[in-house]
Amino acid sequence: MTVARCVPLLALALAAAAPAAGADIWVTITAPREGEYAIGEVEIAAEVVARAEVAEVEFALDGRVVGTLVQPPYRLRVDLGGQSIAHRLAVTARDAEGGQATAEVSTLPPPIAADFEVELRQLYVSVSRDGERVLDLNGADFTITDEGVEQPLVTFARGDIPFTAVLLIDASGSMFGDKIRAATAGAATFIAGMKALDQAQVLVFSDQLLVRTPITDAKEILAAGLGGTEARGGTALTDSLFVALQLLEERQGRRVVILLSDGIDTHSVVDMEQASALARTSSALVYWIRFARDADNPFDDGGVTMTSAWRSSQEYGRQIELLTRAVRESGGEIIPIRRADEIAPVFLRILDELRSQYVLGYYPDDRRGDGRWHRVRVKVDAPGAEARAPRGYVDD
Amino acid sequence: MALLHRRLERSYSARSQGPLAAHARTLAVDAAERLGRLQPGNDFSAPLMVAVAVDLAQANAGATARELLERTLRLEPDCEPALLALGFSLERAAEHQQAAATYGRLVELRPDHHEGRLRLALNLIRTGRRPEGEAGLRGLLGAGTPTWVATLAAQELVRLLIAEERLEDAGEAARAALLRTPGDQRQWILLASILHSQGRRPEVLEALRALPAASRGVAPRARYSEWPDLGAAASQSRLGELARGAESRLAAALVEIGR
Repeated sequence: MTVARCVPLLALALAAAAPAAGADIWVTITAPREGEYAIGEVEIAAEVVARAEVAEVEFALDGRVVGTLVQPPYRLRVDLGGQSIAHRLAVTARDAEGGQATAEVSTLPPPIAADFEVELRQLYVSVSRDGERVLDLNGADFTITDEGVEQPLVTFARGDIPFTAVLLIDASGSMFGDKIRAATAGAATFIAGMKALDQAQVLVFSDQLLVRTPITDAKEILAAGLGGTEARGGTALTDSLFVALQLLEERQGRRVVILLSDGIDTHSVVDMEQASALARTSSALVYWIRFARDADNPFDDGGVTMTSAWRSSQEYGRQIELLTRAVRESGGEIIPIRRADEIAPVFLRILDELRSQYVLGYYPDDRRGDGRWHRVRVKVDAPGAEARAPRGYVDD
Repeated sequence: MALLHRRLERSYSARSQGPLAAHARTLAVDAAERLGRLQPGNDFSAPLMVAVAVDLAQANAGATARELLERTLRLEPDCEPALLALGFSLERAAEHQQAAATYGRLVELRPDHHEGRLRLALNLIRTGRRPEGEAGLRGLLGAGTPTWVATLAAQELVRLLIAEERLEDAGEAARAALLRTPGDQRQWILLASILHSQGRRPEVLEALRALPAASRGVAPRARYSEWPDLGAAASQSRLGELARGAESRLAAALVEIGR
């Protein structure tokens, strides 16, 4: 609770404060400020002063509630999207006695000189040193090059940015037994660790899509999607990845696909060329928890010897190569595992990584909209630190 | 003798006695082949050789299996199970040219062999003979074709049209297929992929939202990649009957020789 004697002093300082009738609660938006340029990920910061206990503080973007906090600090990270347009931000504070106050600010689209729309390009970057996350960097520590040309950083954020994740779980016959049990338990661990504004979808597949939950923040719905999963049948990995990426296209903000599979597709109808091209145009981060199929020769893709009526061993090898490239280009990671008990810690590791990513925004200075692949490099100026970021994007 | 050694082979295999099983197999096949030459058209030489070949193929001895199936076909050129098994074995080894030729012979003998026609069409496509393959697939879409064959023919027709960048035709074929089999998840995903290529984003989502629940039973694509039904159960039971009769005759003959 904020004590009453602070009110006069703070009220003077808070120019944008909006007292309710009766003036027992005040709220002000301290960032972004009225008329400020804003695009991409931004943090809305609010200060609340109340005589009674503050019950909740609700944040709205363009009329839609995007989050509610029940204790200070009242700071919420939201995604304004990559389009250069104005936005209306509102914060409503309510106290325990029914009082409420609302503050609003409007942000402006950044000025753009070119005669075509320029989208902010956002890069989700993980930085580690000796396997540990590095969390204390600033914008000045990063250098972005786009097609070899250094780009000025326009936005910078760090930390806990909400995400939408698709958990894509292979339940084909090769996952039978301990593997599928550990896979669903690992996914459940991830779901349990999600925060209030995170959302997810569970897709369980074999040679068909077996389970598809809605994209939701309701953990009980997501967990129900994992229940009773049995491993059997072939693998339609590419089809399922295609579906996941398509469904994520609808979502704003940070989008993530976490695929758990041995990676051998036997029954898809969509070509991996198309799915990997979709991964390129999507800005989703793709993680692949890759289960070793052959314990003796676990990840030797050159040595794929499997053949079927659908594919030759070369075609299987090519598929894995394309999937590998799609994951690496997205800025995600391939995490090889050999045992079922490694799955849950890996899910937690990914969750931890998502909680500690940096978001770098810039306007590419050579946008043509010609569908060309732009190579992007992110360097970090910190001794021993390594950055993992998307390796490019399709200029469309 | 052939049937006796075939039984011995299975018994050794079950006990993981590889060399003994291999020896018994060789004796069984040689005896069956010899009898086939002496009594052409007898009702167990070819079934026995095909059954042994399928066992070998399933034990990843594809080349040996193919060799044995070719021997069977030299003995009985019109043996349908041997043609289907050889075609499948070649297909799995990515020998699509030879697989198409083998399935072609099968379809010549049995124009109503729907699975053979499907496999012929797909192998023709893989060898670049796309118009013939397309015609073959279109011929399997009508009534009278087993559901799994028709469903797969429709999926592969759409995939062929996509590969040839005939997206309008592909969309039309996918929609027509979905009228016949609305529960076919793969076909809905194909439709979404066509719409995606056409840049029709809202319709992509519509198609994906319409994805039906998973169906029960073996999916057509899984069935295609499994060994075809060669009437193995029936021929195995017939071989069993023959074996029992042959063993008693063999025992009587041995007793006679002993005297």
